[in-house]
Amino acid sequence: MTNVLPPNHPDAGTVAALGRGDREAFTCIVTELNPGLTRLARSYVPEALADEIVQETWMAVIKSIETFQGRSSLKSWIYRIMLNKVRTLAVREAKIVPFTSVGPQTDDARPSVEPERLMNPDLGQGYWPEAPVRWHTAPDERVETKETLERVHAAIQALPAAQREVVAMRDIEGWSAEEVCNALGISSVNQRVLLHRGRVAVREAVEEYLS
Amino acid sequence: MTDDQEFIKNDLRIACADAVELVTDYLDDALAPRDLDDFQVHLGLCEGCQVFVDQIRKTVTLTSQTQDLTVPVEPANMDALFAALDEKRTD
Repeated sequence: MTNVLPPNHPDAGTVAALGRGDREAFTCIVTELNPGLTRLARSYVPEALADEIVQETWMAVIKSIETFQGRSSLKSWIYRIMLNKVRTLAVREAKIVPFTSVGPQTDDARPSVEPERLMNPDLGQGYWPEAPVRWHTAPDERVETKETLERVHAAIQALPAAQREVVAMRDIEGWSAEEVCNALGISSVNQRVLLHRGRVAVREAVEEYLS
Repeated sequence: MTDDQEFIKNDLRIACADAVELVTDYLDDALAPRDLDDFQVHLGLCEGCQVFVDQIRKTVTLTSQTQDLTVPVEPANMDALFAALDEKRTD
């Protein structure tokens, strides 16, 4: 059984090759996607379980490549397979709250900067009284220390799953907004809300650490 | 004083509390032209929001540096996957 995508689909060649059992094409896409898949899976469950999930994901890709209809990129489709598996497992393992939190977070109303920090004596509520402290005041002072990065990592891990996924894909893996929307099945507005909430929380953690 | 305050407020176009919510949209070039104009005018006049934008940019850079490069390049059992691939060839 082969899968025939429209010839102009960017993944048509790879999909056809996988359908033929082409090892080289498979190795190629594994090399491209396995590290990112593994990192994201490991943000849900312990390493050993995550690595199993990734293994199962690739097996599912091989076995069901014929069902890929090309409505998204192959990469998005593969990530969706992994996410479905790992979310289910994570819920079962009770490592995270049940994944009903996809979509806008319950803390959406929480502002990016605490209102009490935006109390300007002249301009009133909603304006900085003074600028926040810059993170690199001295020229030789480096923010990117190992300790800072550890704090950043911990802050990302502590994010609600929906925010963590978007932050991981956008800011760790370097995906475009459109790719993230496709892989997660969310709107571009939702994607930016989740990304912003996540970034703001990480910024706060860095600020707290540096102050 | 009251006149000055009003004047400053008008110059800033939007409150800092609103500007800080727009930073990710701004960095993604996703602001509508009118909002972009307000945001840029505000940013040009407001040091607090300039620092905040810098810190969000820095946060993105720091986040990218947390990428774990030690994860395996290949899945645990590549042989099993190759075997499944070979089955497709004989289908």
